[in-house]
Amino acid sequence: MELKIARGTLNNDVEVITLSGTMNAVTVSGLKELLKKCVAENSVQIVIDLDGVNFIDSSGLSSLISALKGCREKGGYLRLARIQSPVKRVFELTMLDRVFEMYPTVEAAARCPVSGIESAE
Amino acid sequence: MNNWNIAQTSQRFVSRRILFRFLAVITGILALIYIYWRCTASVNTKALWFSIPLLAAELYGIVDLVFFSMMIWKPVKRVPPLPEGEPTVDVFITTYNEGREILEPTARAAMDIRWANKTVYILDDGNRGDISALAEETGCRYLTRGAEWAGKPRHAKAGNVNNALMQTAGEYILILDTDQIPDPEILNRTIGYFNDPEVALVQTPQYFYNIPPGDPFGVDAPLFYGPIMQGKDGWNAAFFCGSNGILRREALMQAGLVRYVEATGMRLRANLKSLLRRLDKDRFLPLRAQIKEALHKLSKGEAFETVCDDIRSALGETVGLPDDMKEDLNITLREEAIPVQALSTLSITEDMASALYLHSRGWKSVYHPEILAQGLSPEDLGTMLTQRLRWAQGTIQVLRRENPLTLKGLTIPQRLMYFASIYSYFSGFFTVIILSAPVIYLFTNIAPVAAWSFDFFIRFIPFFVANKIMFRVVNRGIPLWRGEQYSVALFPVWIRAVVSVYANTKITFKVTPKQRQSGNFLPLVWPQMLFIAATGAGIVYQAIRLSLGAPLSITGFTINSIWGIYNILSLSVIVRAALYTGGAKK
Repeated sequence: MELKIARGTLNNDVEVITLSGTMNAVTVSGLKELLKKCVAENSVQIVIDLDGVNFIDSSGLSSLISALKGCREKGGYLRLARIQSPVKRVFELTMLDRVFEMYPTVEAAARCPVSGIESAE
Repeated sequence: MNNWNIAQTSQRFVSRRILFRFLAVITGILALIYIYWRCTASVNTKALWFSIPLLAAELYGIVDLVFFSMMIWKPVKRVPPLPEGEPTVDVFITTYNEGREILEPTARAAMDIRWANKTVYILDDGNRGDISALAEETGCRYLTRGAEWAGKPRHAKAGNVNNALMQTAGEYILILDTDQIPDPEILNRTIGYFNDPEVALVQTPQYFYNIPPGDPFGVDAPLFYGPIMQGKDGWNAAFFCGSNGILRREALMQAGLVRYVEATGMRLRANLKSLLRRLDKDRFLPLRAQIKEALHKLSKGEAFETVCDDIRSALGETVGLPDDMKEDLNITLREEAIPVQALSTLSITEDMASALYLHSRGWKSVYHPEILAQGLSPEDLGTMLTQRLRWAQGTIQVLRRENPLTLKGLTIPQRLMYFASIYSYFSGFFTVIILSAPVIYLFTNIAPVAAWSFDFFIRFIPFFVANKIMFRVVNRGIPLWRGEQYSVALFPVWIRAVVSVYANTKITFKVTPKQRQSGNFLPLVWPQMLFIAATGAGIVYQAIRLSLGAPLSITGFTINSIWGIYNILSLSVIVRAALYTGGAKK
């Protein structure tokens, strides 16, 4: 049980984080650190590619919420791409499908316009 | 040590249950006969200002009795299943300002818990160097809040635990207060209940090893940690009591996530509506249309973030908007340090509120009535009153903010079980009436009932006796007098709790000191002393008048004197507690 993390960029300004494996309380610590680092570095336009993720629990979801908060507070976004149906079920169960923007592809997620509002901070 | 643990045989347990039900039905019938007569035939219509409040107090008491009967109706006796495998467990010892001499035995005992896959964390909300050193010495890990909490609401103990949940990964969490020394078998005896994937919580009793002889502060709670919790367990309504409980991380985190979604959704809708109200109809017509469209999309189930992005773009394209309006689109709970509050932060009794929420989400709870941790009880009146006030305020906050009668997802018995616990904290107002009644009679001869007659005795005495027998039997013969005394004597605390919550007074979580505080506690109990003095004076006053030949009812005097003495005896416990000095630590 592990979570593989790859970090890349798209169009020079969008962080693309590609995940594969299991996202649970034990495996997400590395992802949490990476997302914290992105927010600290002001790389706050983030797309997370979940294509390779076959399981997610509430701790995994919670790490995404924390990162979303960080990105939004700096005027950016955190979008999800390519969620597989078993994982999508967990989003529905916790009602988080009501929160996140989900896209069929990484490109579609990155293409949407960035908000026109700068952060107050 | 405890005579209500799992040593009982099943046969005896079943017989007891039948006996409880029999006594509950008998008491219920006698109560109904009495109260029906009180309502229909014995109200003193010449003094309604007096007779109606007393009747209301009696009705309150009868409803309380009905709740109690429901609670003891189907207690369960648990036999702990053997754990399947050895899942990971995080032991959280929460501390704020307690000294290391209190924490050290707990930390060492936690390290000695027989469970291979455990990690013990000291959650030090006081961020103290000596506690960090203690953690290192004992082999515990040390956690404290990070920079993200600066300037944000801390949410007391719930915040401390939520902070730790974000930094740890164990499948189950055992929560221990600073002073609760765990038994080495605590996990072996409880983790097996989680074999049922729907169980979110296992609670064990709180037991205090430092109770002085006679229990002057009424902290021993054999009724609560015995028949009441076992009874609630029977209705799948046993709740978390803050310490000595084991929680399933996944259940807690799920609850936190759902609460997050509900909170952000509500905030987004409220903010959009507020924007709409503040935008000038003529100047911002297109923007208003977009906001209305966004609200419509939200009601159709569109993701919050998509709606926010739409509105952000629309706001960005609109010229002449005040800056503060843009801030309204911040729904990330910016004021909170961490977005997902797994333990509920809406009440200062986070334990009950969290369990209520878990139950409403369909999770199960278990009460395991074996003492598996022992702690320190308050050793002075001031501390005890602070603790009781917090419990009462927190419980009433739950009613205001997440009313169990209306919260979605609960079964009807669960609603009633939670409501019953909250209901009992409203007794203070009725206690004042019960305490005042004999005083009023003894000084004025105005009676709240039409007559102190045979009709009264024939209905009241059987009910009173049956009630006492039922409680005695339910409590397995352990006298309840101390508990009864305190439920009366703490009336000013209960009243203060209700008033402070409904008056929206700022309520803070006060940490219960674990060491005896010194001082003069008599000023804290002046209302009780006032009632004792007034009742005593009333008895003497009427006795003198009778001896001087005044034409007064001997029966009325006798009944009200006995009633008054009963009240004085109830109240006296707290005056003695205020004067208590034994067991003071040097």
